[in-house]
Amino acid sequence: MITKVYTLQLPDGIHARPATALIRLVKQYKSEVRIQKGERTVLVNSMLNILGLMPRKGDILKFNIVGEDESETAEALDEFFTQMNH
Amino acid sequence: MVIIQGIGIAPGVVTGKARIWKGKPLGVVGSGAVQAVTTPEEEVRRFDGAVSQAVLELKDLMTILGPEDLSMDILDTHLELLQDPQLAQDVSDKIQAYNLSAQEAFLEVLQHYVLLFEAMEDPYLKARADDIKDMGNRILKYLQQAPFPTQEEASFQAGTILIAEDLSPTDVIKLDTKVIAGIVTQKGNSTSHAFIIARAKGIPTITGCGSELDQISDSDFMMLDGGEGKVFLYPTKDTLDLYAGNGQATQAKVIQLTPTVAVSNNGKQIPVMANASGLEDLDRIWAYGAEGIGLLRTEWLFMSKDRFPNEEEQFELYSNLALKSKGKPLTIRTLDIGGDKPLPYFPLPPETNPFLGYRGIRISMDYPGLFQTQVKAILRAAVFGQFRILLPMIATMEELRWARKQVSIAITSLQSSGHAFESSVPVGIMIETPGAALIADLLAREADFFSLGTNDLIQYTLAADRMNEKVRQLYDPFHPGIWRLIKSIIDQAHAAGLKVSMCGEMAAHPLVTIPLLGLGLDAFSLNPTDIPLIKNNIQKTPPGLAEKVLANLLKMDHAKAVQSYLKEITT
Repeated sequence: MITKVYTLQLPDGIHARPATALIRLVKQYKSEVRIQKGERTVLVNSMLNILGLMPRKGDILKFNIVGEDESETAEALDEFFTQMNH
Repeated sequence: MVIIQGIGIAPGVVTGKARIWKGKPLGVVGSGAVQAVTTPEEEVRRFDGAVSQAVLELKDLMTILGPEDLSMDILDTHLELLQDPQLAQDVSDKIQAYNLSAQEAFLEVLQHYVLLFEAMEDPYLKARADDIKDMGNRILKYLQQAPFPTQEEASFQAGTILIAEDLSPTDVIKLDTKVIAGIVTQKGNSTSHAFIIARAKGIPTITGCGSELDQISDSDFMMLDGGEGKVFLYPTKDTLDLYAGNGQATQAKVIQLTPTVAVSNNGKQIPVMANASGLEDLDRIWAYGAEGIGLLRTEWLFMSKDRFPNEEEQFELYSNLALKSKGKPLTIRTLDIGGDKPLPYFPLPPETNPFLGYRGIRISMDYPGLFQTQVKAILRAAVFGQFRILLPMIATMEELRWARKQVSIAITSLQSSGHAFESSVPVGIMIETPGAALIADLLAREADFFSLGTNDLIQYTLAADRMNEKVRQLYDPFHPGIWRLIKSIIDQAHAAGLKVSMCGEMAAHPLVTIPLLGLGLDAFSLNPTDIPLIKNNIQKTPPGLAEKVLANLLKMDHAKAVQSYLKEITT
């Protein structure tokens, strides 16, 4: 398992379009990806769950990545968040 | 005549016949005929089947619209919602645990998520409840035996004004802009995707009319002023005349009257240009006789993506625009977002007063990288056309200086990049804050041109929010203070040798063309449909009249007097 931690920089968190992009990104890989915010953990395959987490600016999001291509998945997430947070 | 005051969502003036939309309400449909429960396994299969059919239908719609359609990002989100594994899991759990039918289980799950999102404080997330309902209706359509009637959509006649309680994004996407002239709804949230699409499609739209809409019946003749949020039921001839030329019915005639040539008043050429929001507006713009683009909003370019468009993407768009414009001037406003018009992937924190908040150049200054990317793309595209850069929301000298410095940085960086570019692109500013208006003489020393953004300038000067029905009547372009302010701006600009254009809605008001000419306004920038009327007004103003009218107007001490005087001399 690889764990990645990001501090969300977008002023108002992750909304519908970034969430769509994130789900689609993760779908390209075989690994299972979960986001943990505080006590709650959700799978990164559900728009309802991701929006329900209400990720906001300054939130620390922990990603747990498990699977045969976990390092590629982790790299892709890194790139995604670098772009998002530019 | 009955006037219903709502909230203007998408501008434009149209006349047409009412059609009460009896399509599905936005609320979650369903219940009705409850179906007999078979086995839980069968019900789960039925649900999965309904989802698959809804996905196919949505994908068909996306294919028909094509990848360039502005609704594509929103539909992508809907596609993810439809296929949400959590949703399928919840429905399956409910079916198994309580022995419910697929439809009952889905309605309960849907209700749960709708309430969850509606209860959220964040207005953006709250508005997503509508997307969830829309998604729900797509699935319910296939869970119920009788599919929703669709013949209604096909039977609209040209010039239809839709009257609805509320509309879903899907409803609006399917509307044919050739037949649907306007939209009026009882309720709606201005950040709703349905309205974003209506704006993108250029359908004049008014919301927030409440139960006053109940008095409207099918085929009632009506007129909408989408910018002002006014619904006129059985408008009188005077009202129609006041708006004459803006409505579609009279449009063709006015175009014939004014060929697409430059017009002059007192021998001075007055370019009448267009306000534009995207490439697809362009053919329309030239057809209406625009002599350039006086305001190109770039928000749509950014809103139609799921991330910031890079320099190459922007360059391609701007250079295409330049090629289509055939050498006519193109005034491109740098990204002007704010709390009231955030980007989906760059959400801004809610503000108690977004109009006095974080917007326009203020945001650019915090994100110089974004500004650089846009400026570089413009400078490169300027090789192909006559671009001008327009800065939004300027209130201080520092902001103008910051932007000019950024333009020089962009030039330096382009010099080492090997790309062809144009370094002498004029940089002008929107005068839309009273602060900028009061230092117009100072700003004029360092700006290349001014553009009067009267929508904001009036609301800031008169401290009246156009969206607030309690005070909107105070938002009045006839207020003598507005005339003094604009006069002072134009005089100071002219003293420094700068030209001034006006791109706010005031420029399109048929009553004020003459006094604006009297002020020496150098150019008008209007919604394309208003161009023929205003050109006509400019051309038929006899020499000397404008100055005389202005002098009389400036002696008046209240708005009503100004307005009735202008009415009197215009008729």
